[in-house]
Order: sequence, then structure tokens, then C-alpha cells
Amino acid sequence: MRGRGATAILVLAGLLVVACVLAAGVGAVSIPPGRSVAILAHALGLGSPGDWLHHEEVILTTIRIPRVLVAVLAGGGLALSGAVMQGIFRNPMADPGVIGVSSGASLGSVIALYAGWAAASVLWLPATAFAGALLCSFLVYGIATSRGRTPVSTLLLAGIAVGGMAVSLTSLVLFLSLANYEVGRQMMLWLMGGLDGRGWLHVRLAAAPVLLGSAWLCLYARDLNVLLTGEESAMALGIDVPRTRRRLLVLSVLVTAATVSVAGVVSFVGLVVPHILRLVLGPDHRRLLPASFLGGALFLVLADLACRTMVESEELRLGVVTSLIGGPFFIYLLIQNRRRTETL
Amino acid sequence: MTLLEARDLRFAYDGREVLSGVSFAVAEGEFLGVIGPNGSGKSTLLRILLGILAPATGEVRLGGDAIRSMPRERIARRAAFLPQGAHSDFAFTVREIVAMGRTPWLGRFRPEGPGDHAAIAGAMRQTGTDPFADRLVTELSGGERQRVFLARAFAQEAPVLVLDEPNANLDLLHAFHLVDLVRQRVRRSAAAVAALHDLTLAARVCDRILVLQEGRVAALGSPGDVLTPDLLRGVFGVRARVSRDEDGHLLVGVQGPAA
Repeated sequence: MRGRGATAILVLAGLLVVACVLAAGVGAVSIPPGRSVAILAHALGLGSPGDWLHHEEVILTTIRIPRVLVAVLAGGGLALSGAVMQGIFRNPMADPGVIGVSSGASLGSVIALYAGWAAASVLWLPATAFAGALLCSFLVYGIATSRGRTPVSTLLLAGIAVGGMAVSLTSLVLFLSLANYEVGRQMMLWLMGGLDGRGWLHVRLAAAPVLLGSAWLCLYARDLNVLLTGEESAMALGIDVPRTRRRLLVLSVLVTAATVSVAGVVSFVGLVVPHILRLVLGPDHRRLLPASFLGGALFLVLADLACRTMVESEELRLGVVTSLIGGPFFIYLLIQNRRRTETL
Repeated sequence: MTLLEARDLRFAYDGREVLSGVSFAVAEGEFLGVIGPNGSGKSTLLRILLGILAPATGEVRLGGDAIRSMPRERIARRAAFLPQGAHSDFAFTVREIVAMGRTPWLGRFRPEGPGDHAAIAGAMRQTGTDPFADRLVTELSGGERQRVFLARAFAQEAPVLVLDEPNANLDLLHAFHLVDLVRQRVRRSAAAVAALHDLTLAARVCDRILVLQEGRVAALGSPGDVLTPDLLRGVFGVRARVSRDEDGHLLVGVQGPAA
């Protein structure tokens, strides 16, 4: 499978397009794939009006397509920044969660719901989640940094401490809100992640940070490769290691914060997707980063489709579904690779 | 032509002086060995030469320019490094590892060109790593792996090679081969500075040897002048016999601790 990076990326891109068209067609009102494509082409000014019903067009262009696009952005951003974090820390267990991004976003969002801001404007929830994610991760980074140096182990420990406190504060706010059933319910739903009710607003919010951040991160693929062979090696090959690591960290935190702010807490995507792709494609980030974006997007589009269709009356929560698919699969990979790693 | 120059280097770590008053110059075509007991400052010296550590006072000049004011990338174009026990936990292919040597020559928007491919192929040919170009570096033997990382340093096309104990963990034949590859490269217009622990090997490949003792230069000169029983007793605390083989090469035999 090695050396076939371009093929793998094309296959993933093709699968993603197919999955998007399928996902856009499935729902309470079912739209056949051919008709979805025709409606989409027409909306983009590419085709003549066909024989579809008006409400089909409305459902597709105002509900289904933006929702699928949010899934693409969130899944792609999470998986790509997961791959970057694993490269920065030279540890396949790392993801942006380790430095407090998702716990910070959770705290921000429950505060917005508790204070009633979220009811005032749909912008408040993503905005506070984004702010919480950034604040929490920069706090972690600040605690771990002294005199311009950030030891990785201190960073991870600070992430555990600050993340743990954010989780406790989130629980506290949740507890204070229990009396108000609707607010408490909203919080629980957000914390379990989901794309229900996401529209063009959320696409617009996430598109710029996720796409620009991801493209920027891909430009650092070679630096990440060299970093994997050791810090001193990388310096001797001309890389300013602290500065590069800092940039990569800030960019991947921005990308993750943007995804969490529109999708809620969705776990395992950043961990499992790069892990699988690394097994298939090898560790070269020039293949791994774009493949992770496409693979993460594909995974989340399908997971969201499962959320919408598995149970008839109610939508399942996205974060729950990704954990229940990702967790067992990850355990399977661990068992498969158990013999190859060092033992205690 | 002087490719590398160290001037009065001093380095302290947590108030403890690690290096003091270290000066030397290495010319094109020259192989300088650095020897000394554990903790004598060999690794620190090599890291200062590469700009990985900054000296408290003194300066390093590469190709006539002080590295203090050079961006990392420019340092890397002039000095390449083979770290001790270089390895990768990640399953890159041999070719991918060697290609990393081109990093200082590539821009963020400039992919590898014909010149880079030629440098990579040349480095693999010189080190004999081309037969296993597509194997994973995680699956190689210690000797093969060390040659791959040496090929990466060659691909960097820097005139100065810095090697930290390149023979650690290599058996006799592989150790000899590796140092010989460096020796050949140095003859073709380069210079090398290597920390070595095998003194007979050092005597054989080095033009000059620098002896470090507690961070100071205890001796600097040709192997024949430097590697004497007196010096080995004074610096390493061992009783040693120094003789010559039929070709005139020095043989250093350590007999035991000095009384």
C-alpha cells in the first residue's frame, strides 16, 4: 500500500463525494442521488430546472447540504489536527483534547446556555465555545512555558490539570442548571456533540478557520516528518523546532476550536482516523495530512448519517456514535499491534 | 581552507562549567576526532558546533561566518549531523529518511527538483543504502540503520559533517565501514568532526585528535603525538600500551586502570 499516496487520496475524495450525495438524499423526505445532484447543479447555476418538487429543493439546499458540509469541515478539521498533534508530540495517543481544547469549549458553551446568551442569538454558542477552547489551551500552554521553553511532558500534565478543572466547572454549571429542564437538556445535547439544526451560518463560521488552517498545516508536512526523527535531528536539518512546534500547536488548536464550536464534543475522530491512515499509508505527513482530512470528513458524514437514520423517532448524538464506532475499532487496532510495541 | 572554527568556547550548565577555552579549526579534507572520558564535554561541544546549544562566550564560524547570526536553515546548509544512535520509531522508508537531508534546501512551496533527487541518489550510492531503498527503517539492523542516517547527512550536502559516537552499538566491521565512508567523503572536499571512543579506530581515520578533559583541551595534534601512554593515564586514568602495526598504524591497547 506504501507509495500509493495519490491513489489513496483520490479514492478517499471519491468516497467522500459519494457519501455526501447519499447523506444529502437520506432523511424523512428521501431524495434519490441523481435528483440530489441535479438540484445541486441547478443551485450552482449549472443545469436547467428539472422535475423535482419545490420542497425537495428547499430541504436539500437549506437543511441537508449545509449539515453535510458542517460534517465535512468538522470531521476533516478534527482528523487533520489530530494527525498534526500526534506528529508534534511524537505520540500516536495525542489529539487536541490533550491540551484542553474540547474541555474549554464545553465550559464556554454551558456558560452561554446558563447565562441565557445562547437563547438571544445563535451566534453566542459557537462564539463562547470557540473562546473557551482557545482560552483553555492557551492557559495550558502558558502554564507549561517558562523562559521561552515548553517541555512536552509539562504541557501534557498542565493539559490534564486544566482540562480536569474545566470539566468540573462544566459539571457545576450543569448542576446549577438542572432545575431548568430545557437549559439542562440543551447542555447535555451539546456535550454529546451533534449536527442537528446546523445550517449555512455554521458552515460560514467554520469554513474559513478550518479550511485555511488545514491548508496552512499541510505546508508543514515536511517539518513534521523531520520532527518525528528527533528534536536535535530536526534542528540539524535547519528547522527552528520551538518556533515550528508553537505555530503547529496554535494552528491545530484554532482548527479544532472551530470544529468544536459548530459540532460540539465529537471524540475519537482525531485519534482513530489518522491512526488507521498511518497504518495504511505510512507516517509521511505529505500523504497523511490530506488523507486525514478526507478520511475524517468521510467518517463524520457517515456517522452523522447513522445518527439520523438508526433510530426512527429520535436522532442519536454524534459524539456518542463516533465513540461507539471509534472506541471498539481503536481497541481492535491496539490488540492487533500489541506484539510490536514495548511492554511494561 | 578553514571550514569550521571554534574560538574560545565556554559553556556552563546550571552554574557548572562544562566547556572552557576550547579553540580549534578544521580545514577542508580534514577529519578531526574528539576523544575524552564520559562527561568531558564531547557531546556539548558537538551541539555548540551545530548551533543546537549556544555558548556562553566565544563563537563558532562555519565557512568564515559566525553561526550566532545565521538562521537555522543556513547553518544546516553548512553543517550536517549524525546524532548518536539515530533512529526512527515511525515506519519511514529508507528513501524517505535520506530525502529528509534536503530539508534545508527546500522552501515551503518548493518541492524536490532534479538536483535534490541527484543528491539523494548520490548519498545512497556512496553509503551502499540503495539496495534497500524501499525497506522500512524500523526493520533494519543497527549497522544498516546507521548508514541510512549517514546517507541523510550526506544528502544534506553540507561541507562539514559532525558525528556523535557514530560507532556506538556497531560491531567491528560495521564500525570500520562507517568511519571509512566518512573518511572518503571528507577526501572529496569536506571536513568532519567526530566524537569517538575507539582509540585505535580514531588513530587510523583521524588527521588530528582533540582530547577533552573536564571541558578543557588537554591535547590537540596528530594521533601519533597525542595518543601516548602518559596522556591516556592522565586523561582516562588507564594503563595503556601504544604500538604500531606492520603498516605503521597506531594500536592502542588498554591494559587496565592506572595504579
